[in-house]
Amino acid sequence: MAKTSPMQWIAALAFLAVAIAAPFFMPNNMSQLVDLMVFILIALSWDMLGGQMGYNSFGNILFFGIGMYLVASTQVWMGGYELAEYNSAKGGNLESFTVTAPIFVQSLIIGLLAAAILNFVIGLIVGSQLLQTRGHYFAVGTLGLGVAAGEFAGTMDFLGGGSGMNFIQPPDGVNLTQLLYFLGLGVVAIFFVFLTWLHRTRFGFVMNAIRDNEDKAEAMGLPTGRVKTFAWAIAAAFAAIAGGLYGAGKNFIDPTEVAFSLPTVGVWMLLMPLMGGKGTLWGPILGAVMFQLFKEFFWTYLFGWQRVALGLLIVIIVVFFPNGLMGGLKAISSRLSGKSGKGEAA
Amino acid sequence: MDNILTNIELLTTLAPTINLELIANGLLVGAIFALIAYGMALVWGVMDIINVAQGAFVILGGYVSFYFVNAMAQVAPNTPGILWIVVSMPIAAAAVALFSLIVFKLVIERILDRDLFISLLATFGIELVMQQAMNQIFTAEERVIDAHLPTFAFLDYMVNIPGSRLLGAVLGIVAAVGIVALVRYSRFGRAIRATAQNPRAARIMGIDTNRVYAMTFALNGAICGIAGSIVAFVYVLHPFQGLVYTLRSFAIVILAGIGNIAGVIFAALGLGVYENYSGFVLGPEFQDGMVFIIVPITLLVRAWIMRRKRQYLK
Repeated sequence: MAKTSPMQWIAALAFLAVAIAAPFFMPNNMSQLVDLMVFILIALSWDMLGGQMGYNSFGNILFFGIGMYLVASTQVWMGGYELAEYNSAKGGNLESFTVTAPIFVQSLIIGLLAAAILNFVIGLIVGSQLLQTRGHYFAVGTLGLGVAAGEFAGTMDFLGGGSGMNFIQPPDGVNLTQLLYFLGLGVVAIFFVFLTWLHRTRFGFVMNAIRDNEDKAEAMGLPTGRVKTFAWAIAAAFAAIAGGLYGAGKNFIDPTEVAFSLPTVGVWMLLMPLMGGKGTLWGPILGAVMFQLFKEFFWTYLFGWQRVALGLLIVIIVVFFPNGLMGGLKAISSRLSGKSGKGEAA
Repeated sequence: MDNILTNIELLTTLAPTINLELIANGLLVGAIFALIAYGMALVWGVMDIINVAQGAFVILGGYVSFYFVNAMAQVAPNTPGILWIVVSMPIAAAAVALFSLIVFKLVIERILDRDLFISLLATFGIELVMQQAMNQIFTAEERVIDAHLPTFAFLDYMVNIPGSRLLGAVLGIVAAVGIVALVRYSRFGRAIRATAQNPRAARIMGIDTNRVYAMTFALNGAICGIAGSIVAFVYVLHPFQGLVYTLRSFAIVILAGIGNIAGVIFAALGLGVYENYSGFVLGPEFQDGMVFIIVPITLLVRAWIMRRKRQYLK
């Protein structure tokens, strides 16, 4: 990635300003805004591997779901309750499990941190093995892992089994959606700055070299195995944070419909970078914004058929616009600069 | 944990004949898996596309068969149900083949020379569209064709084999033999194999490879249609069950290797037995999960074997 131009700084600051102001202008759409932050996070984290490194994972939903369960469990533990006891009370007197406002906020943040750290480790372990496969095999192998995780989560009774688990109710005085939104925005900002920096380091260049030609990168003596594994672990940590925020926003975890839901979030996280432009820094963000608009539009106006429309959207994007918005912009700008002169080559 | 140990004890010491039942049932459903996996291997080998929508095609074939058999039962209530089940197979095959051809013209044809990620995501999108549309049209209710067949008991009711599974396996084998013969001995089959070996050379020899691709995809649709009509009376139909069949086929094909028909059959039978055992030992709620997890595990085993030769799974 080239030097950050002033344009990009201005764009980033403008985006940040809009994002900070948004809750005050759209107080009725807070849960959609929380989802948007979650989507930006998972789109960026997916693109680390899919776009920058050429490893198209269909199973990052694994980390998303584990993160979600972990945050919910941490909140129960830190509230001073037994997890199994809490989950067996589902459907009955869940209201009796209350926490104070400071503990609620602390446990949410600690839960998110714990989810990030644990999934970093899981990413290292799983990645060190699964990243030895390439191409089709990696994609479908991760897909199998992601859906299997949902099935197994549904068999664990202390996590609520197949009928899922509730998040602990936020106490009075906590504005949950606002809290989640600004936490999400903070993580997005950190992740964005981190990625901007990462792609200028040697690590980032090795990632791109793996995408372009892994055999050659290896022949040049680059530590491809280590870079791949650590990149996936970092992506896993941020996907887990996204999962925790998403689950807390929905207030409910279903093992296969919310946490490890491959047909929804699991495939959206691939679609968003593709819509915006794979392998660019801004592509996933723009893609997430576009996707959220499409999704809300479909959910509002296509009652019952919204998921069909979303599937069609995937096919159309993949077949007709595989380079995304950023790819289109790049093509336009190169055509413009091609016409205007020759000095723009740098 | 305790019930798992009890189940293992049951298998090893208390009632070893259960093993026979599990193996027999596993082999019978394995025959159906082999059919579906063969279709996937065909498309994969010829067009270099992994059809993630494979399972959705199967389910679609099942629904065609289900509605046909139900309609016929009302038109002619006195004829045996098995007759209509058998008649429904070619109908489901034709319907899904036609549908596949439409999908090919609309989507697949445009992504043939794109990279693998595009084709995976596109077929995944097709899978989503199909499962959601089927959910809207056919509702999420579980459907099953009742074949009115008895359950055969052997060894003093220790080994029970449902007649529907037996019939399903027989029909599946007949269909598979026919399809394999078609690919091996017909002119059309020779064109398919030539295109798979070297598309450019095939074009030079005057084969219309684009037409071969279309026909291969339609043939795969027909295979899925037949398999679906078998699934409709052996198992149950549900719009969201498709992905299970896709992942099963994928596991079978990687275990076997592309273009290895004998391998596909053995892997499919093995998967059927494995599934039955894991369902019995761990409990039925684990069965789908154990199918899914076999995909990364087989990949890891194969990657590990290949790494010792300094090769990679690509």
